[in-house]
Parts: sequence; C-alpha cells; structure tokens
Amino acid sequence: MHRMGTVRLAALLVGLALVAAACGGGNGGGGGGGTASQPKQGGSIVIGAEQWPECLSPITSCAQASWLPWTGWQYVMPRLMEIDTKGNYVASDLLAEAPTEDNGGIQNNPFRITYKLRPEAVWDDGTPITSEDVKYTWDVIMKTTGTLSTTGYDQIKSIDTKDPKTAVITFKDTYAAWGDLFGSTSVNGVILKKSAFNGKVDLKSEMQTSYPFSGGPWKLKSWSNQQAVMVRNDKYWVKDKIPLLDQVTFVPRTDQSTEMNSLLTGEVQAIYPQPAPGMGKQLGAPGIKTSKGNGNTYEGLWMNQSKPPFNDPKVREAFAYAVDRQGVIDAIYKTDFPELQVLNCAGWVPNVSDWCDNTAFADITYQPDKAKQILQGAGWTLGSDGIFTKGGKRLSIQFRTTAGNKIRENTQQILKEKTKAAGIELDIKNVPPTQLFESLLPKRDFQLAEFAQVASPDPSVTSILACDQIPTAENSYSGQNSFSWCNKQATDLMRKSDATIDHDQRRALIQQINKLERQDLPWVPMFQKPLILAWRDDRLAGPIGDYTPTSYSGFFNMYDWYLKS
Amino acid sequence: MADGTVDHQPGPVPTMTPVATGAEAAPTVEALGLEEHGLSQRTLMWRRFRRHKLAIASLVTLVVIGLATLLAGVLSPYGYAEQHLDQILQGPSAKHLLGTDQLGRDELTRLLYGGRISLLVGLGVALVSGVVGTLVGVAAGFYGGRLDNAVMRLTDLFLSIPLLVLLIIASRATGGSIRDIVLVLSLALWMFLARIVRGLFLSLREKEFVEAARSIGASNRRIIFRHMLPNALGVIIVSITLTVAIAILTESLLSFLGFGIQPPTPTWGNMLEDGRPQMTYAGWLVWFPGLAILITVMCVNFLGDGLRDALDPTQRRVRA
Amino acid sequence: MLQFAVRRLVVSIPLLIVASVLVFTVLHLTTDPAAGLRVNPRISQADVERYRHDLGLDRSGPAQYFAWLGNFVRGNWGTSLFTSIPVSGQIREALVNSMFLGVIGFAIALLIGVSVGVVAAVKQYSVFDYMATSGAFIFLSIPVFWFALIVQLLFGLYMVRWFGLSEPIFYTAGLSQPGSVGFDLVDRLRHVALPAIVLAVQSLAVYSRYMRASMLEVLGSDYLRTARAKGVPERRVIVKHGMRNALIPLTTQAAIDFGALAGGLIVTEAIFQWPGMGNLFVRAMNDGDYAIALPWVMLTMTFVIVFNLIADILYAVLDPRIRYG
Repeated sequence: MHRMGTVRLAALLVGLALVAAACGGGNGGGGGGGTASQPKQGGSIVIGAEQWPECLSPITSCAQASWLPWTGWQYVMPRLMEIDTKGNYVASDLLAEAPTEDNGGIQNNPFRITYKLRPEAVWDDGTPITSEDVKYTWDVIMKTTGTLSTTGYDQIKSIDTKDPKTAVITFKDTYAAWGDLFGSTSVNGVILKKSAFNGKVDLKSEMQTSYPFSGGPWKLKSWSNQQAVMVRNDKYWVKDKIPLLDQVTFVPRTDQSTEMNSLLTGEVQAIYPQPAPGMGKQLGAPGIKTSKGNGNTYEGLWMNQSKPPFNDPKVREAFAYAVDRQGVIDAIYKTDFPELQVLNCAGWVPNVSDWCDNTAFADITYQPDKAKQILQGAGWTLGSDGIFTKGGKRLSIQFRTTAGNKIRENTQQILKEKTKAAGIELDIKNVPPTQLFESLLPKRDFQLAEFAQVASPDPSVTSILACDQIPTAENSYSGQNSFSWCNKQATDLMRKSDATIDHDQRRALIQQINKLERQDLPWVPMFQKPLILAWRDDRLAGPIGDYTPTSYSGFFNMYDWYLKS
Repeated sequence: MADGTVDHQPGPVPTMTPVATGAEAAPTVEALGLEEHGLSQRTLMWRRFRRHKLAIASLVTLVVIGLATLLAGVLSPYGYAEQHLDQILQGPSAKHLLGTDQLGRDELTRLLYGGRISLLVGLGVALVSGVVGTLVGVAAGFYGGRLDNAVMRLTDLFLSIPLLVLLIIASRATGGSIRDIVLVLSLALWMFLARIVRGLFLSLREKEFVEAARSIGASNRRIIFRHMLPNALGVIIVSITLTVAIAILTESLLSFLGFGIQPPTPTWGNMLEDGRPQMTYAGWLVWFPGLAILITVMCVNFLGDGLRDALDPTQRRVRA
Repeated sequence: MLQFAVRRLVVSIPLLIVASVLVFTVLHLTTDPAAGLRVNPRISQADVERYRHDLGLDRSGPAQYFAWLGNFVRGNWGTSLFTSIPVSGQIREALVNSMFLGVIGFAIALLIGVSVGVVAAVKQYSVFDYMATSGAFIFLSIPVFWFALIVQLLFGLYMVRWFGLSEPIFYTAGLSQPGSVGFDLVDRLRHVALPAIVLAVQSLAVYSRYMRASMLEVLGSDYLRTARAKGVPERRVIVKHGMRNALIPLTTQAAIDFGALAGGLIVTEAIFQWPGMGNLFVRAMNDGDYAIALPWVMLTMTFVIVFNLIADILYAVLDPRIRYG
C-alpha cells in the first residue's frame, strides 16, 4: 500500500511539472502587454520546412533542393545580382551599384561586366570580401567533382582581380543572362570565401554540414538533419538589415498534416507550405495570418507534336479550346487563392519583370463547341459515344503527369470531365516523376503531359523551345524540347534575344516569340503556382509576406521580423 | 501470426505457440489433436463455431458490408468519379448522405465502390498468399531434405526483411493496378502460412496412415491432397481469414506511402490518406473510410478467432 | 546449442547478400538522381552527364554494386551517394533515435499488456475482460496513420485550444526542442511521448491477448491446482506460478518484436518527424541512395535474424513441456 501511494504522488508531481513546463515555456510567448508593433531586438523563433536538404553544399548534389537556400545559404552567403519582389535584377548588398551600359558596367566587344564591390562589405571575421573571392567561386563551380551546373560559367573567359574591390568578368561572347551568375536565384548563386578553404578548389567534401563563414545577415550556428540554427551576424555591413531576432531555427516537417498542426499548436511560428485543397480553411484559425502570391513556377499542358494526334495543328487548336483553365482555377484554387488568374504567356509570368503582359493567350477560353467545329473541319467525326474518331481511331489522348501529386491529380480529373464535352477523351496514366523526366519526356514517349516550368529572372526559353533542343537518339536525348516544336523564325528570335542586352529591345523580341507560340500552339499555359506563407500573427510582426511570391521564399526578409511583446 | 515489425498491425490474434523461425514452434498433428476422423469432427467444429456469438455477428456484418459494396450502383445515384464542383467539401446532408470531397464527389458512393476494391484486394491477397504459402509449405514439409532447405532459406529471406521495407521495394518495382497491389501484398505475406504448413506436414509425414497409403501404392499427389491436406485445412482456413484483415490494413498503408491504387479509383485506404490533412475541418472524409476499415478488420479478426476455436483446438481454452 | 546458433547465423549471410542485390536492383532501375536536374532550364545536358559521371552513376549496375560491395566487406561503408557524409554515422544516429523510441514504447507495451492480460485472464468474462478484449481488437484493427493523427490532434491541437496553452505538453513532432543543444531528458520525454504511445498501443494489444490466452491455459493446469491445494495464497499462485509460465510464449514474441525495432517505424517516424531508421530508409529509397539503403537493409536483417534466433533459443530453454519433461 505504501508503494502505491508513493507512486501516485510521484506521478502527480511529474504531471504538474510537465504542465508547468508547457505553460511557462514556449518561444518568446507570454510576457506583459503593451504595444505589439514596436520592433524590438531579441527572441528566437522556429520555422517549419516542408522538405529538408541532404547536405548544405550549394555547389554539388544537395543544391538541387529548393529548400536548401530557403533553410541555408541564402541567408548566409553574399551574391552579386539579386532579384527584387517584382522580378527585376537589382544590385545586392555586396555591390555598390548594378552594372549597366550607362555606368560602364556593361561593355561590348568583348562582352565584359564590371562589378564594383562595396568597400565596407566584409566576411563575419572582419576581412573584406574581394574580387579574389569571386574568381575563386568561379574556379570552384567549374572544377568541383559533382558540380551541379556550369551553364553560363563556361561562357566566362576570365575574371580580372587587379583591384580587390572590382571584379571584371570577360565573356567569350555576348551573354544576356549574365545576371544569373553568382547570384539571382540560381542553384549555385553564391560567392564563397576563398580563405575558408585553404585554396582548395575541388569542394566535393566541403560544406556538408556546416558553413565556415558568413557574408550575409545571418550566421549558420549549427546544422543537422533535424534543425538548422541561424544566429545574427553582427558584422553585416548593411546596418538596418542586421536581424532583430537573436535566432531562427528551421526544422523539417515533411508530413503536411503534421506541418499544419505544428503551426496551429504553436510549435513552429511560420511555414511555407505547398498549396493543398482546403488549406485556406485550416489557416483561417485565430492567431494565424497568411500572405499569398503567384509564384514563378507555372503549370502547362505540353503536347507532343512528333506523334499523332498532336502533329496536326488543328487538333492542337481544338484541344486548347477544350481545356477549361478557368474551371480548374475555380474548382481547386479559388476559395484559397482568389487572386489566381489564368496565365496567358507561354514561358514568362507577369510578376517577373515585364516580359509578359498576360494577353497573348487570352482568347483561349473554354469553348467546347468551337473545339468541335475545328475538329469536324479537320475531318473528324463524332462517334456514338461522344468522342471524335478519324480513320477508325478514337480521339483518346494519353495524359500523363507526376503520380502522387494530389493537386495535379485533381486537375486532371477536372480537365478530363471538361474535354468530354468537346468530344476528346483523356486517358490518365500517371508515372513517378523520375520516370516522366528521365525517360518518357526525353524519349518523347508521351502524347499529353502536365508539368511545371520555372520562369527564371532571365527570360531565355531557348533550351525549352528551340529547334535544336529536340531530344533524339542521335544527340543522346539531350534538350528539353520534348514536345518537338520547331519554328525556325521563333528559334532565330530566341537566339537573337539571348544576345540582346537592351531591355526594351529584348522585350519586343520576346513578345514576338510569344505570338508565334500562340500561333503554333505547342503547349497551353495554365496558371502560375500559387504560393502561401503562413505565420503566427499573435507572436510575429514585421514586413512578413513581402517575399512570398519570390524564388527566395517568404522567409527571405526574416532579418526584419520581430517578436510581439 | 507475428510479422516481425511492430509498425504494422499484427492483425490476427496469436495462438498459444508463437511462430518464431524454425520448425520447432510450429504446431504438430498431435498438438492439434487431429486424426483421420471424418463427419463427426465436422459436426464438432460447427458446434464450436456456433457458440462463438461474436464470430457469428461478425460474419453477418461482413456479409452485409460485402452486399452493400456489390450493390453500390443500386444504392447510390452518383458515379464515384462524378464531380459536382459547386458542392465542394460539404458535410453530410440530405443530398449527400456522407458529404462530399474536394472535387464534389459523393462520399457514400466512393465508400461503397472503395469497399469493393478494398475487400477484393483483401480476399485476393488472402487467396494468393494462401495458395502460394500452402504449396510452398507442402513442398518443403512433404519432400523434406534439400528441397526443404532451399525453400526454408527463401522463406527466411522474406521473413527477415521488415514488412514495410518489403512493401516499399516491391511497390517501386511494380505499377499501381489492383493486380499489382495484390501481388505486392501477397509477396509480403505468404511466408507465415508456408512455415506453419511445413511444420504440419513434417509431422504428418510420419503418421501411420501415410505409411499405409504408401504401402498400397498411392502416388505422392494422392497422399498429399487426399490424406494429408484435409488435416491441415483448419489451420489454413484460419490463416487465410486472418490474412484478409492484414491485407485490408496494409492496403491502406500502401496509400500512405504513396503507392497503392491511384485516383480517381477509390479504396478505403486512399480515401483515408487523402482525407487525413483535412480531418480538422472536413472530418467526414476521414471518419467514414476509417470506420469502414476498422469495423471490417475487427469483424474479420473476430471471425478468425471463432474459426480458430472451431477448427484449431490447440487452444484448450478454459471456456465454459 | 551453440553449434546450432552459429550454424544458423552463418547460413543467414547469403540471405543478406541476396537482399542487398534485390534492393540495389530495384533502386538502380527505378530511380535517377539526375531527373530533377532535367527540368531546370538553366541546367544543360552536358551538366547532367558530367554530374552523373562524377557520381559514378554512368557505370553499369553490376559495376556500381561490386564497387560498393568491395568497400563494404572491408568495413568501409563509405559516404552517401550524393553527399560526403559518412553512412555509418548516419545509420548509427538513426539507430540510436529509433532505439530510444522503440525501447520506451516497447517497455510501455509490455508492462501494460502483461498486466491487462493477467487481470483479464484471472477475471475472465468480467466487464474488465470484455473491455480489454474489445480494446485490444480495436487497436489491432485501426490503421496506424489514422490513429497517429488522432493522437496528434488530441494531445496537440485540441489540448492547446481547450486549455489555452502556449504549446502542447506532449509535442507533436521532432526529437527535441528546436534550437536546443545537448540532451535534456524532460524535453526528450515530452517529444517521445506521443510516438511512443502510438507504438505501444499496437504491441500492447497483441501482448495482452497473448498473456490472457496463455494465462488462461496455465490457470487451469494441474500444477497450479496442486499449489492451491497445498494452501499457497492465491496471489502467489497467480504471480509466482501462473505468470512465470504464462510469460514464456510472450517472451519469445517479445524477443522477435525487439529485433524488429532496429528497422524503425516508417509510418510513425514519418508522421512525428522522428529521425530514426524508418525515416532514413524512406529518404534513401526516394533519392536512390543505395550507399545508405544497402547497409541499412543488411543491418536491419541482421538484427531480425539474431533476435529470432534468441527467441528460438529462449523457447527451447523455457518451454515447461521440455523442462518438466
């Protein structure tokens, strides 16, 4: 009997201790009242990440993961050019000014960019960031075993470092996408600190679980497969971007249900989740605020012209009028993302600079009767089951997308119902992403595919749409023009645009390419992928949400976030 | 019927003798109290089964569930892929008795059609793994020697790999059709019955009636199928029944892992997994498929329990 | 006995090799780590090819496998295919985390399962017995990921809402408090509680049924009757004579289950974000990282084989039929 009593007492004490810990604990919560919007220093927060990179290196394998910069190097490493919230190239904090033709930063014959680094820009140990670091980064990207991409960097002829604060990059030829190098939103858009690696150029084994330096507002204090801890970098040379918070910890929350719950219970204070059906309702809970935007990733329906039925431009046209783009948006996204619109440019999006005015494809609306007319005009007859036939073959189109993506699957279902009214049948056959991108697309073994492309800050679409980018057995299936569109005029315009520096001239060329795409209809753009940042409004304050639609993720400006008291 | 990983539901309630590796733990003929008897044994079995009221109730429930799924077309005016985009995510109402999902599809209809597939998969897996397991066990137990060794090595291989690992590996290598799912699940479950049957046959082999049959010139096949197998039938039936429960649960697990039947074809498993993130505001999408699985699996387990009482008297339970 | 054990272990080695070949083949044929690169318009075909070459992925299947095997048998588990992080370290850390969760859940399951089973058997057909039986069947029949969600919501979201807490008493995800360093026991326990409950509940149902069944058999046996006739107090009869013998079949099952703990809990770890063996395996399979997946499979299988062997030995050693002849 005594023993039972003691046990009960112990259990009671433990229980009380746990409750006390829960009530008194928490991150920066509690405390007195007072005004909630006075920026104040201090405190730490936790942010949930939907995916977690395998390692930290921005140069090799792990850099493929978009969550690597979002939980790692974009807060810690400096870059040359940066992208602002409107999708324009601007000078980063490292540069005194953006190179332009007017200020001599951009020269032709030979094509040369001169970057002036700020004199006050220093690494976190106080040593200055110099042009040697830029050159070193170039060497690392070109020479590291397993380097992810040298595209563009292989266009550099030399980097002059006579002046430690001026990096002069000379190119082999005019390269309009120069802004993407060592910056922008590229996978390896960083500047590395040469002295942190003892001159080693093959960084295959470096930066796996730590960064040995910092040139950004934050320092990476520690990293594991369960958390990334960022702390303030007091040496950052832009004083009003030195973080207000003491510490930000990123944690993986890969199960979406768990991710949501973590935010709702307060275990994390911010998340950047993939849009999912009904998300808006969950995030409508008290204390939670959201910021929404349209991302640079756009969804499209890609038609393979090298095979029937899409080798017939009339069928492509009819199909375009059978796609209910607005219907998909209304059904899937409207409640949560009322601002989402149909995308009417074929390769660019309205919120990345001004390449896209969103009008070219505006006349492609859901008109099943028109689709029927076009098909009948092309020699198709409506069968008894409501599907067109020609020459004994039914217009049943194999429709592929990546398996396991709920939103895409729902989209497919809706499209399938709607195209029926136009006499077109969609036969859904989804495959794992690897199979789609590794084998079916390069081998052009598909009829209709749905997947997303990224509208990068540089508007070049040559690698996707040019005639010589069609993957064939002869060129070992290289090239991303799987839908086999070859329009000589458009290809010439693309090449010209890639070599055009003047913004207005380039825009004119791009809009011409867009019109040619509307004419030939190699694919149907649908909409941009909406993005959402959600945070605990009862704990956090500041200009949260400004960067939501950017490729930097909504967390980019966390140096300006602070805790409400 | 232990399965080697606690993450997976060990659906069947275990017998007295745990099934560890090796033949030592498998039930023998003596332990089962089986001999060549005949009709009176069967009557005894039926009487024992009838006493297990829960098992009877479960059987009735299962029949009702099965009929409901078969009559899905009659019971519901909607199609399972029929979208009503203006009635998304609505709770149970007069028009949609169990509510609608994110594409406005009727939940009750999907539950009924989904039940068809889940039950089909359950039965299919039980049958396939039952047949394979029995054949393998017979081959090993009857012929013994090197065949036995080889077969047991194969069985051990499958038994040593954790169940979910085996499922993931097999699912990666196959597609997502019902046939593929049945294959994958059967691949993961056949070993348990194989081991039991093997043990049984190893001891049955030594019995006098087998000697007698052989002496009058009966062929191996005849001996196996006519004389030995009927004695093992009880154990096999119980095992197959309990496998149905495991198969239904594991099918839902496959959906969680991202494999399994692809939409829009509903199964209870993929409905449960799809509804999971929406549990806090669209609970009907989770509760109904979840309860469907829970009730069905429970009934199958009770049924198996009752069948074991009737057919497999190793229990020697102190039952009044 | 020793001979038997050694022989069993030696004979199992080819099984490990076969399993590794199986896993490698599936990964080799179904994953391509370079696939993600192809969608990025900034990355050229030349990039992809060089990347594959640098990682050794352009070699043939057998070439890659034997290169790996050659290192492995010499004790060099190498690094992950895509990072330079040593595999042995990753597996060790995951194993520790899985064992922490596993042992706690396992202990809870045994304690409660045995107690419930004994009481249910002693009080057969009572209300307690029926409730215990129904409870066991419910827990045996409920899909794990659904149950885990219910637990998460109950102890996480709803508890926070109903009691107005700033954070839950038992955390719904993760190993430890984000941002913390070192090992804080209370914090760990608060994090392990919910996944341990989910784990425990599955085994608990099995153990209670086992215990009940074997206890019932023992309760009606001769030597118990003898003990009672000799005047031994009922409690001692149950605990000393009854339970000890009834525990035997349970012990062998428990040994088997313990061996399975090394494989982690794929579903539970995924939902509760527990960085254990299950999580590691799923990531390795998705990435196509055979450098992690193959040692993982072999290690897990070894655990299972060894503990199954222990279970068999225990069974032979403890079985009263053998002991009392």
